[in-house]
Amino acid sequence: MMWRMAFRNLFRNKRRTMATGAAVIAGFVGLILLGGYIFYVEKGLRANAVYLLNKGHISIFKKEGLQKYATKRSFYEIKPEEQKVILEHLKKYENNIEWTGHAITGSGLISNGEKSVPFMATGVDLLTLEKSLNHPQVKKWAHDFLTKDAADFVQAIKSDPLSISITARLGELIDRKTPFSQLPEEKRNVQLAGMDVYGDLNAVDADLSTSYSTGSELLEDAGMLAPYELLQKLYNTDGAYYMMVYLKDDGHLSRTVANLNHDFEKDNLPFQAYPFNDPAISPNYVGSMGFLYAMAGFFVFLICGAVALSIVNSLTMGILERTREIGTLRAIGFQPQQISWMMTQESLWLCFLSSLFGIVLAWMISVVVNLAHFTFSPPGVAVAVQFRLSVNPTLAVMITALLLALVGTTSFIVTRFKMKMKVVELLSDSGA
Amino acid sequence: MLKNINYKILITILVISRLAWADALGEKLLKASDRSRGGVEHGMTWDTEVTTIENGETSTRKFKVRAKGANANVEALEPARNKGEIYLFNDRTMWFFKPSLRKPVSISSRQKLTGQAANGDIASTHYARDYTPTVEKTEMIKGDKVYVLMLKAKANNLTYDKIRYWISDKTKRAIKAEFLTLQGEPFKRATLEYDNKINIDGKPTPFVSKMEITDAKFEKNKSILNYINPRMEDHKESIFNVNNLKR
Repeated sequence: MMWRMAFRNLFRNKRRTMATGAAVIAGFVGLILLGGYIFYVEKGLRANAVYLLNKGHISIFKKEGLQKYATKRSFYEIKPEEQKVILEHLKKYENNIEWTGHAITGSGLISNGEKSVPFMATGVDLLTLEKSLNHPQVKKWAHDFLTKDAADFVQAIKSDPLSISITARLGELIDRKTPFSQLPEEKRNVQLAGMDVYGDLNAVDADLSTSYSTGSELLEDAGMLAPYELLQKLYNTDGAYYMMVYLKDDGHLSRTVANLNHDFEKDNLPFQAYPFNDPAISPNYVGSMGFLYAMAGFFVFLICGAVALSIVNSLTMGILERTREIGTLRAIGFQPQQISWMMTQESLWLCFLSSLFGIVLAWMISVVVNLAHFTFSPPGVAVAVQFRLSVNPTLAVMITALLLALVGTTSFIVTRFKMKMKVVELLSDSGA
Repeated sequence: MLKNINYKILITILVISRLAWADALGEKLLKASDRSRGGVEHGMTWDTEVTTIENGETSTRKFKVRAKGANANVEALEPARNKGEIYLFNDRTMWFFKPSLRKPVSISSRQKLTGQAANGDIASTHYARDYTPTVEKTEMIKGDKVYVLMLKAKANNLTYDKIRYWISDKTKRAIKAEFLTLQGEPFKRATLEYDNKINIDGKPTPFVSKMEITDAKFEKNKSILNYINPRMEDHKESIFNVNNLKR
């Protein structure tokens, strides 16, 4: 009965209802598109960090290896027998593990026979490369980070184990232009030199096959992706820098990492697991998301503030106009709480209907923006990415709930103030 | 008035002459000291054993150095895993090659060879060619007058940007060095000994026998280069040709 009355009341002053509704819709669309943008960026950066930068959902290092591996590689690398011990411990979690991999990283010089320039390489096992480059999460969220021929890298390694993938910019530095696979064999052949685990200079032959992007402006001049065995040969080792664990569902990532570290500690094993969103593992992901969350917090504050003020204004005007009506309701026996609740219900109806309209509008805007295919290069990102908006249903429900709570609370507080007036004062109000 | 101007001209001439003399002295001292560190036009051969002590661990490497003028061919002899590796110095350009490679790799003389020793430390020394000397001061060390030179690199592909170099006035040989950062802070120190002898133009000349390079901050970390059996030996130009280092 009350809800119906509240709904009918919306049509008593259509202009004001529309004005308030428009403010709620604008706020709703703003929040949902901002949330949709952050959602898309988060998914993209997550897929890039986990799959394309080969960190896995969980990275396992030798204890302190993350910090000290570069200074004493032989001590902090994970030897093959230690890898077996880690895999044994991971069996406990195998129901949620998609696959595990191992990686080695290092720096050195890449030479075209005439000049050399520095590189920063990651050597990854073939299974991980194959699964990562073709992973549905990558295809859905992070395809902007893939070069045209990135997916050909696995096939190239299968036919030539010396194949490496380097960034287009590193290629330019050694006078090699993409596509590398079309270069004559002599030009594709390069040499990699680096300090091995004994502290001696070593070098190996390699063949340029495909290009890839690190996704980071800082690393793009030196990025290299190589087969795990080739980097092991370069650094004269049979060990890995870290092992990666790829989960089927990363919903309980922090708990899984904590349990894993507890297992290592309990068995007195010198290993340490990190989630991919640890600042030491994915500084780019953590930094970008931190900035976006701070920016979003600011905008949410502004939007919610504007919506709340619109509601306060509209309700105050409505109450001023309806003071005598409120007095009449009070005179015929309505309790102040009942009247406050009815007026709050009006605002809740308005907010709910505006949210429904807002979802449709936000979806239409996102479709138009995505079809327009705007591209831009975010700060610190080496590739041009498409500006995409995504209307996420869960987020829409959450924002609707947030706005309903905001509108409901605001309305109730405003009407409660008016209810403090005596019935006689309400009935004799001139409406001015 | 005229007398005053004459004095000023005289003082200027004296200052310029003094500076020119100091530069000429610095260059002369450097040329002389280079001779005892392989910087000669004739062909020379010696073995270098590098013992590295780093973080309490000791390792040894051995190289055969064949030098001639601005070129040097350094072949790794030990340990067995490095045998056959070649470092080739062509003037100021440096190459690394091992038999399994299809092409040599251009490397930097600044790069660490092992321990505290940079690639550029292993070959013959041509400081007179590569650095501009300035006489900073003189010091008395063990009763001998020693010139302290400040060497500044003439090019940016040299092993060090700046070196403070102590050369004995009596023997015209370098006795110690400080390798400086661009800001002028020492990051490595070296001492040199000359117990070897070689014959240059029929004259017996002392030749470096030991160079100890120490980390300026962690003095326990050091590399000791022992120069073994230096001898005058002519070499074919082909061993210094990078094009011959291809598989």
